[in-house]
Amino acid sequence: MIRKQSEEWFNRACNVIPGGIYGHVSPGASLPTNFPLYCHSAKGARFVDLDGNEWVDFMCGFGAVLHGYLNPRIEEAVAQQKTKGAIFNQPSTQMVELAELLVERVDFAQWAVFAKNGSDLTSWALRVAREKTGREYVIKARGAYHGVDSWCDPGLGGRISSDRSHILEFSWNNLDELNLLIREKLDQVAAIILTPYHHASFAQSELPDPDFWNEVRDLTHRHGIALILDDIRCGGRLHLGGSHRYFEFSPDLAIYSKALGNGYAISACVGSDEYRLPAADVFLTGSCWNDAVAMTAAIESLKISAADRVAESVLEKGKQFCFQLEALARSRQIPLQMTGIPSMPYPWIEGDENLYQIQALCKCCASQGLYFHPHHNWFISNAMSEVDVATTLQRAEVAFDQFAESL
Amino acid sequence: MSDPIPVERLKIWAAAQSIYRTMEFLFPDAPLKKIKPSLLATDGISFGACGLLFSDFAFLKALSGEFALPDLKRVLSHPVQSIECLKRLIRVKSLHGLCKGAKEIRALLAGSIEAILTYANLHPYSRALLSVDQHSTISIGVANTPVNLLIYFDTVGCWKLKQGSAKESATCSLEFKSDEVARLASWGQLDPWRAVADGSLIIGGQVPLVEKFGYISRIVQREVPQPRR
Repeated sequence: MIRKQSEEWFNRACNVIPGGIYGHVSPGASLPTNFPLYCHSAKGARFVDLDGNEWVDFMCGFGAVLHGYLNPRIEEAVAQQKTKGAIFNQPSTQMVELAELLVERVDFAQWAVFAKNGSDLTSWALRVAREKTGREYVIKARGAYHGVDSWCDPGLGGRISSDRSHILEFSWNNLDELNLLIREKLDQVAAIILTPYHHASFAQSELPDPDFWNEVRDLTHRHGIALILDDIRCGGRLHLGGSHRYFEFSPDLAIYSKALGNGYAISACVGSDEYRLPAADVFLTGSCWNDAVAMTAAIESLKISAADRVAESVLEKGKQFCFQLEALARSRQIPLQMTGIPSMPYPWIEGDENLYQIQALCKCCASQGLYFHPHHNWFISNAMSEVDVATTLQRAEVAFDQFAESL
Repeated sequence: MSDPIPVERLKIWAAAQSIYRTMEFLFPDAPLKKIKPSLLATDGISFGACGLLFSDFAFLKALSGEFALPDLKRVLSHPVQSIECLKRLIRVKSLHGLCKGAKEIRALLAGSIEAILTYANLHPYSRALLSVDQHSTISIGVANTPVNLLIYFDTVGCWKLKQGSAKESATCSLEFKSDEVARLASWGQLDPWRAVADGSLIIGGQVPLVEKFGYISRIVQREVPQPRR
């Protein structure tokens, strides 16, 4: 795969940007010398890198795109809004329309607020829970990602000891440990924040045990703790009405972002009526947060999700794809398992705890133009066509052969 | 582990440990125990009971390439051991100017890693970062050379370094593409992000562990003086 342009631009970047490319898209987080460093354009379920290589995409902008890159209906709505502007002194009516749409769509929601990034609202939601309960502690699952703020970011620098002094952790599905934490900090826990299922990086995904959500909901009710659902990554991919519907429970607050705007930066927090007043008392703002263009994209994205039954569609597409990919691997004695939910599967090779094999497999796939991430759950685009899947499987066959020969 | 070392003196101890480790790899057959460093209670670092003794201040100056005198009383009372120690120290310092061949590169790398391990063991935040990784190992090598080192957590609860084994059995691995890249890394002159992206530094396995050690190495780089080249 040619990477000349990517490398030239990366070298330029290193002179003026710390680390060249930072965060979850930094080269070191994936396949540094196999994946492109920069993208040029994207459409549907494919993208073209800076050197003109076309890739079949399984990351969807790390989940930010659900209906395919450059979805025509969303782009048309966005183009129309752009003729009027994006940021004004006061919000646009799109803000009200979007809030109404979310309140109608999400069964427990009675209000909504908006920001740009998931982190903006996970951190704010904790403060709302603290305001409501008058308590300080927050419980999260070990290894779960909730954003870039110092209480939860996976980075290592810039921390002080107090950053996490009120954050407690338990292992996903370990209700005994969760119970113990609550007992140890009796009447001091403001919130439990969790993703719908455990989709940590560098580890296979874990679904909730059958009783997990019922137990968690029961515990939070009994102890007056806010249950916050971080639905940023899963939102729109499991259930039209929010991922809590897929697992049949009801949180107090839920945060959405990523797919909400289909690539336009927007996040939303919705909540039950109990949390309306505390929410009004916790300051929330950002200069560009009332962005009418991103809100227009979100409105259109939500409409498409309902009209095209997108959550069901990507679940089914993912299921078919994962089944075929696993079968292909099995036929070559590669014990590949696509873990988690099929619309956002995480690839895992049995016995490969240190990840060398999945890294090698994904490198082989990259050489065939398949963007298979070795350390992060993938995302199935609703724009993924039968042709895309057929192309992927053909290329995967070649890549799996290469991998099997290298063993 | 002995008494905790005050954080402000950790850089001195890390530098001394790094130097000694380099010596061990450079002179595998020499009786080096006689010049094993020890940190004095309140001020000073002594290379063996009879080798060179520096105050903290003088040692830091010496590391930075400035003129610094060791304790003259010690030199006068043990001239032979002092000169022997000085010769070894000069040899270690020379690696920061010219370093070639597997043995020297291995020694240089081992010295750099030892400073990182000192922080991994004794620097509170660094130790906390690695508290969940105590069953892990890290392989560090140079491509197409016999240079291969392994970091592991030993039974007494310390991160340690030894000559390594196959990288595939380690929790994670770092492989420098060439001697030159390994040298630059040891001298603290490698841009790790650029090196990873252009393939000069190949990382594999559990990358979060690589990131932790990388982060600790940058703390060391910031705090521990490097000999001037």
